[in-house]
Amino acid sequence: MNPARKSGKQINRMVIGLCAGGGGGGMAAAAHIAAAMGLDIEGLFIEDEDLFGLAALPFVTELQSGTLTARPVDRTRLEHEMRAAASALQRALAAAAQPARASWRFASVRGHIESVVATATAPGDVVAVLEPAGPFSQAAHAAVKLRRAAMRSPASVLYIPEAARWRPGAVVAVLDGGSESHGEVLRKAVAIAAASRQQLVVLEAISGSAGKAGLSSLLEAYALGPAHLLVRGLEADSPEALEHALHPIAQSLIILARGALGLDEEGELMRLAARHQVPVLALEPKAG
Amino acid sequence: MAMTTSRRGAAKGDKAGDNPLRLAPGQLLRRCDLSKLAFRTTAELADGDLIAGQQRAIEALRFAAAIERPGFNLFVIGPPGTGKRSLVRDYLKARAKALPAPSDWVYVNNFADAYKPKAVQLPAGQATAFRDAMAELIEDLGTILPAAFESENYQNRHGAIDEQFRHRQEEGFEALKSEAEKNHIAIMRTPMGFAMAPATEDGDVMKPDAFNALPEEKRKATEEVIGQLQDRLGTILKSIPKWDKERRQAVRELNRETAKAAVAQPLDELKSRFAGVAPIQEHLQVVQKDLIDNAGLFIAERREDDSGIVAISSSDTRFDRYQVNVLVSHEDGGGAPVIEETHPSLGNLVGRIEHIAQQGTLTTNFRLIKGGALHRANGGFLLVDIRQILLEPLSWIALKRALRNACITIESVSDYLGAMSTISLEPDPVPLKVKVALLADRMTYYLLSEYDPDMRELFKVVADFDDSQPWSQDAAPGYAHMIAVLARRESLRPLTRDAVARVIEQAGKQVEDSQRLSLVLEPVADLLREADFLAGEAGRKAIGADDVAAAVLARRRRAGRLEERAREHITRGIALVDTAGEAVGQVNGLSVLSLAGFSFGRPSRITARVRLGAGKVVDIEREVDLGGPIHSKGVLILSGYLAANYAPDTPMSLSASLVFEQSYGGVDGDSASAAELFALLSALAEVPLRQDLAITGSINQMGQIQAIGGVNEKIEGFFDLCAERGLTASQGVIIPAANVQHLMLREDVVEACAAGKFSVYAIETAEQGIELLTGKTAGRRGPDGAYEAGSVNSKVEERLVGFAMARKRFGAGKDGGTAQ
Repeated sequence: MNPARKSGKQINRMVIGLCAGGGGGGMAAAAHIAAAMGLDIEGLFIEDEDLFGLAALPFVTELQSGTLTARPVDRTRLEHEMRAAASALQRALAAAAQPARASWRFASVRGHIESVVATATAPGDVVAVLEPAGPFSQAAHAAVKLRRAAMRSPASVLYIPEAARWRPGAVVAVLDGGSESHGEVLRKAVAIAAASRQQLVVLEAISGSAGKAGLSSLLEAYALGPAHLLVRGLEADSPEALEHALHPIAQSLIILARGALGLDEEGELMRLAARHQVPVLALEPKAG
Repeated sequence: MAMTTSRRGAAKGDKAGDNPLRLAPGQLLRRCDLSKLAFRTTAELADGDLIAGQQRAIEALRFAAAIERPGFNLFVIGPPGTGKRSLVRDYLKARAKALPAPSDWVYVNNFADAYKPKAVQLPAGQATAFRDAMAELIEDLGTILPAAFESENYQNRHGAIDEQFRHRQEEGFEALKSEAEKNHIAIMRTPMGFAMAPATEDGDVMKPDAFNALPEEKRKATEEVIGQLQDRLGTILKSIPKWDKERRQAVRELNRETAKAAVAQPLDELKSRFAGVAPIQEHLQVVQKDLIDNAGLFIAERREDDSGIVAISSSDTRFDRYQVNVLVSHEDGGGAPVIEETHPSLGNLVGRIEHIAQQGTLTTNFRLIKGGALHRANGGFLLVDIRQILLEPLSWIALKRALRNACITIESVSDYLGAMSTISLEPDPVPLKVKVALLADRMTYYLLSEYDPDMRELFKVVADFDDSQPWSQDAAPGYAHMIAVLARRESLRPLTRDAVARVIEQAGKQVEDSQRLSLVLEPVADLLREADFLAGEAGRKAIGADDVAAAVLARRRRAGRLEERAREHITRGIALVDTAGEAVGQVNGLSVLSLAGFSFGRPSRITARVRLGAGKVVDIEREVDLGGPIHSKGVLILSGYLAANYAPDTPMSLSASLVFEQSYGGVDGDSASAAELFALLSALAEVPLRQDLAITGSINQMGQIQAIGGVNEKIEGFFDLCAERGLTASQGVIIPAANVQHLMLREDVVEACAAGKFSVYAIETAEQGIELLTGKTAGRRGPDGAYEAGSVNSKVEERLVGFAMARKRFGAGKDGGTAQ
C-alpha cells in the first residue's frame, strides 16, 4: 500500500480540469505527481456552456487558429468539435498515466466552468490546473475561469506551467512563519520525495520551526536517510525570499500551503510555477 | 590362322646368358652410392631449405618479387607436391620482412553522401588508434554535450529566447486584452480557435437573451468593437509563426554555439594527437561540423545511471556515423604482408558489404564494409591457388580488374552481373599495389595463356617448378640434404646413410629414370613418414634402409589388390597369356594400368591374322572405337614398314587384322606397335614366336624400335606373372634400347636377372626383335635384292608375293580394292 494512503490522509483523488483548446501539456507531470501521492486521476473535461451561447449571437465569428479564417459559430459543429477535443485529451491522459502507473478515469461535463469545478471537487481532492500553451489561451475566458474555480474550490491545487515535464530534482517543501499546516506540507513532501526517489529540501521561514517536528520520524517511516534531506532557512517570510532560496536548487516540485508567504492569488502561484518551470502544489490547510 | 603350340619348357634359340642384347644386372637398377659422404644419419646434416633443383623457378621468383612494374605478377607452375607453395611463401615472407609496412586503411562516413563511404589512408599502425580515439570521443561527448545543454548558462539563454518570444506575443496581446476588457468583451477559446463575446462588467460572458435585450445602439457598438478586436487578433496571430520561426532560429544558433564550444576541446585534443596525419585532420574537420549541426543526437533519450555517467550503448546506432571502420591495419615496422587466401571467393578477395536485417529490411552502412585478401595484401604479396579462383564465380574477373585498374573496388555479385539490387554502398576504391603469385599446374597455366588475353598483360613472370633434376654424382649430396630437411620438418627420425640412398633410388624410380631424380617431394615425404612409422614400431632410433624397403613393399601391398587380381585372372586361365612355348601370329604385349596414383604392368596377348586382300591392316581396336589415335597411328606406321620392306614391287594384297585379345577397355599409345608388327610378321611367315618373352616398344617406318613409357612397371608386371608360374630362366622382356636409361627395376627382378632366372633384352631394330622372338635369322637382302633364303623376312616376302599373285589370278577389285 502507498505510504500516503497508509498515513491516513483524506486526499485520494486528483481532478485534472480540462477545457477545449487546453491541450495535454503538463499531463505527464500531473500523472507522475498523482502516482507519487498515491492518487487516482480523474480527467474532467468541461464543455463551456458560454461557448454554446455564442451560437445565438449571429455577429460572433470564430477565428480559426490554423487558417486564420473566420466562420460563424455553429452549435452542432461545436458539439462535434468538443467531443473530438475531449477524446484527444482522454487519449493524452491515458498515455500520461500509463508510464506513471496511475489509475485514471475520464468524464466530460457541460456547464459553467466554476460551477462544474465546485460541484466536482471535495476538500480531500487535488485540483490540477494545466496551463495552456501561449498567452492567448492562458488569458482566454476558460483558462481564467478554471484557475479561479480551482482557487475557490475547497481542494488543494496543483499548478503545472505550460508544457512542464517531470524532471529529476529536489522536492521543495516551503514552511512559512504563519501557516498552521507545516505538518501536512512535510508529510506530503516526504511521501513524494520517497516515491520519486528525489532529495527533500525544506525551506523554512523561521529556524527551528515547530513545523519540522516529527520530520525525523517521517523520514524514517519512508526509509529516507539524512543524505536525502537538506534544510535551508528563508531570509524572510516573503515571496522574494522564497525566490532567492529557490535560485540554486534544481527542483522537481514545490509544495506549500495555500496562502503561504502571502501567495494567495492563483495568478501568483501560476507565475511561481512558470518562472521555475516546475509544478507547484498548494495544499489546502483543511485538507490535512 | 594363328597357331599356338603346346610346347613348354626351354625356349629355342639363344641361351639367355649368351645373348649380347641381354642387359647386365647393373643396367637394370641404378644404385645410389653415398659412401663418400661423411655422415651416419641425417641428424648430422645441417638444416636448410628445399630448393634443390629449382634454380630456374627461384630466379623467376626473385625477379618477380623485386621488380616494381605493373603486370609483373607471378604464375608459379609445376606438378603438385614439388613444395612450390611453401617455397614461394617462405621466400616472399623473408623478402617482405625487409620491406616497409604498408599504410593502414579505414572507411569513414561520407558526411556529404552516406552512400559513398570514404576510404582513408593512414600511416601503418594508426588505424586502430584512430578508431579507438573516435569511439572515446563519442563516449566523452555523450557526457559533455548533455552537460553543456543542461548548464545554467544555456538554460538561461534558452529561457531568455523563449521569454522574448513570449514577451512579443504578450506585448501584442496585452493591448488587445485591455481593449477587450475596457469594452467588456471576453476572449473565448474554442476547440479550433478563438472567438469574442460580449461580457458583463464582472467579466462573465453575457447570455444571448441579455445581450439581445440591450439597446440596439449598444448592441451595434459592441458588434463593431468585436469585429475590430477580432481583426486585430487575426493580425497578431498571423505574426506568431514568424516570431516562432525567429525563436527557433535563435535557439538553433544558441545550440550551435553551445555545441561548438563543447566539442572544441575534445576535438582539439584529438587533432593534436594525430597532428601531421592529414587525412585524419581533414576528417576531424568534417566531424566537428557535423557534431555541431547534430548535437541533438547526444541530447535525445539520454540514459544516465546512478553515478551520473551517460552510457552510450553499442546498439545505439545514432553515433555510427562517427565510428571508424578499420579495413586493414599493420604493425609499424612489421614488414609487408604476405597473405595466402585459401578460399578466394569474390567477397573474400575484394571485400564485401554486409547487411543487417532491421524490421524486415536489409540495411547497411560503412561500418559493414569488410576488407578482402587484396586489402590485407595491399603493399605486399598475395598467394592464391588459381584453381580455387577459377572455381569461384567472378573471382578471376575481379582479380584481373583490380590488378589492371590498380585499385580495389568492392562490388557484389549482382554489381558484376548488372542485376537489380537494393540500394547499397559505393565505397571509395582503395589504390592497390600488390604482387600476386598464382599457384597452378602447368596445364591450367598453358590453357589460360592460350585463351585469356589478359594473362600476358597481368602475369608476365612464370616460375616453372621442375618435377625432376639430373641425377649426377654431384646431385646426390644435395638430395640427401633435402631428405634430411624433410625429415626434420616432419619431426621424423633421422635416416641412416643407407636409408637415404634407398630413398634417393626411390626418387629415381618415381620418375622412371635412372638419370633423373624426382623433385615432387610429397611422395618422398610420404615414404619417409611410412618408413619412420615402421622404424618406430621396430623401436629404432633412426630410419634404416630396411625400413625404407619395407615401406615401399608395404605401400605396394596396400595398393596391389587390383594388380594381384589381374594376375590371378591370367594364372587361372581366364585371361589367356602364355609364358612358355611358341605360337604363330601371337605375342605378349605389355601395358600399364594407372589407378589412383598406383601403376602396374599387365601382359596382354596380341594376335594377328592374315589373308589375301586389298593391302589393308585392320586395327580391330580402332574399328570398335576402343583404340585411341596414337595406337592407330602405330598400326599405320607398321603397315608402312611392311609395305616398304617386303615385296615392294608387287601390289600389297594382304588383309590383316590386329587385336589386343581380351581387352575390353580402351587401348592407346604406340608402345605395342613393335609387338603388333612381330605378330603380323609371324602370321605372314608362319613362324612361331616365343611366348616366354614379352615385348614393348614402338616402331617407326624404318624399322627402328623407339622408347616407350612405363618400362619398369611393364617388366615387373611380366616378371611377377612368370614368377608366379615359376621362372624358367628363358623368360624375359624385350624393351627398346632407348629405355635402358630409364630402368629402375625392383630389387627382386634385378636379383632374378643376376641369377639368370629372368632376362631383359634391349633392341634397336625390328630385325633384332624378330631374331629374339623366333630364334631364326631375320634375313637381309642379298646382292640380288632377295632376302636370305629361309630367313623370316624371306618367308614374309614370299607370302606377300603369293598373295599378290593370287590376287592377280582372281582379278583386280574382287576383294574390295584395287591392287597398286
